[in-house]
Amino acid sequence: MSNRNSREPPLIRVRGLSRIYPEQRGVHSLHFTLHRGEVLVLLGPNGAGKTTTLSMLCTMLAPHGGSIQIAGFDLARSPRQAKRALGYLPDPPPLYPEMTIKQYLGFCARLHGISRRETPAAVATACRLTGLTAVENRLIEHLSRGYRQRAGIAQALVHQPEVVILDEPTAGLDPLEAHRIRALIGELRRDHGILLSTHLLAEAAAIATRVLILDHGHIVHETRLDHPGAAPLRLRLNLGAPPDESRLGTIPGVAAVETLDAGNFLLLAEPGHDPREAIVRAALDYHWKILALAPHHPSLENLFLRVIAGRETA
Amino acid sequence: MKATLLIGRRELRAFFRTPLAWLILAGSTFVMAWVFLWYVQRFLELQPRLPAAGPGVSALVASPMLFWAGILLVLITPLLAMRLIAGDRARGSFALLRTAPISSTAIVLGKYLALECLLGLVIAVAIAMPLTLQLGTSLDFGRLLAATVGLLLLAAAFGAISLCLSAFAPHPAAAAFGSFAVLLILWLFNLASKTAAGADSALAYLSPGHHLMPLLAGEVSSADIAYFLIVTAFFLGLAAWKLDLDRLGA
Repeated sequence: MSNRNSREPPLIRVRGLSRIYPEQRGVHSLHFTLHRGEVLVLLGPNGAGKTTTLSMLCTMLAPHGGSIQIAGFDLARSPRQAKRALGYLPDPPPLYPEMTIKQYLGFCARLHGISRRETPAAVATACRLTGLTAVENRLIEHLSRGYRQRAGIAQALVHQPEVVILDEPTAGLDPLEAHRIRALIGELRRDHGILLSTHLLAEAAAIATRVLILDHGHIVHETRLDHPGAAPLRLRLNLGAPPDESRLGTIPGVAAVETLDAGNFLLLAEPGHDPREAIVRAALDYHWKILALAPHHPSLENLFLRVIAGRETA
Repeated sequence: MKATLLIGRRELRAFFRTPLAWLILAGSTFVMAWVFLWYVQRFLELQPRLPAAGPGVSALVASPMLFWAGILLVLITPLLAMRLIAGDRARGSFALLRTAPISSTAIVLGKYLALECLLGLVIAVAIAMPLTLQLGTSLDFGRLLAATVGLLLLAAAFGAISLCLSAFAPHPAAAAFGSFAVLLILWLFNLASKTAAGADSALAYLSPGHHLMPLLAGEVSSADIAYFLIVTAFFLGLAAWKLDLDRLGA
């Protein structure tokens, strides 16, 4: 698996992770890694094993098989060091409503081994990152749902872990708050490795650099979303006076042509080539009446439906 | 150790932010004051008929009144302990402790520390009442000291049992009912204290009341102290074991 940080050891390395429940539920022999700078999204229908996987990574559940390494520490053998490198936001966020944001984050920091002297600075940093500074002296029970979710994220960041794990971070938030949380996750990505679970396709498409699709406890598909240029370009072409399909295949840089319906074509470019200019020139030269030409990204939704539905019919 | 103190301090602060804790403290103080005044009044009625070398105010007021304080602990300990683990779990905040780099033992001891501080406060109020009698008479301080130790040991054992049930119960209400039932049954074993032959029955030996009575009367025996310490250690250990077990269970 190529990655721009591949020289650095992965922040999470999961090998053969399993937890078996009756009736084939649970998760079965998962393998994956997470590097700094990545937002890895676990996507899957309800009951696919997303929360079970995250719970095992956060030591809420013990695995039945396999191994987990966090920041180089084996979770079973050196749980304390591994846990120190880990920030976790469960769903719902683990808040104490009777505390103020500042007291709560201070408690979380001390719990994760931050010294009394360094705690105020750590709390201030976490508040600044999550936009909580203005409400840091308010009681958590008086805060809106969006702010509570941010407090949950601040809790996961306050001890500056290398790995941040978020379970359904935008569940139940209004669209504006959800957007803010996603923007925050995008910022956090610079300094941390982020693993999150969601069942929202749009959310995964918006923030993920890599997506693992889980179904019935298995990883059924893995796709990268951060290097669209690396894959061969796919183009949608709409012509008013189309030529024969094979004629389009002779345009330099075009590897394959598929007719979708009358006048609509899907063109696959040769790797590393962008044949758009050649297509436009040919269309003008031969009077094909070009109506539209645009890159075609198969949406994550199509991919998800294809993978999950494909498994269900299989 | 640091984590234990940290958790204990947080729990203690959280206690005083709930109306339930204040209600329990106020209610128990009221009940103990009532019982105390009742025994004082009875003593004043009895006093003219008492022989000069007979039992004094410590035996006739302090000891029975502190026995009632023990019964009060059966009622309030489950209510104070229910939110500690079961309540935390029900509202989802337990995940914070569970995923922090601390052991299950540190979590249990931290919560236990907060509970014992509160029970200690109740006992301090209870002891303060007979101590005021020193203004008008002279008290048997040895006897009072033994009674204080007895109540503290009782609170230690009750706290451990209630916390353990809080670790096992899925909801705070179940924790409170469960531990109230266990404490009450243990206490009632004391009623079966004498067999037909007049010897102490095995059931009575399990009852905390059976071991508290000699201490309230000023008789300190290592067997009674050992009973309370063993019960405390056993249930705290069981609570920590349950928290570890949760990770393995479904």
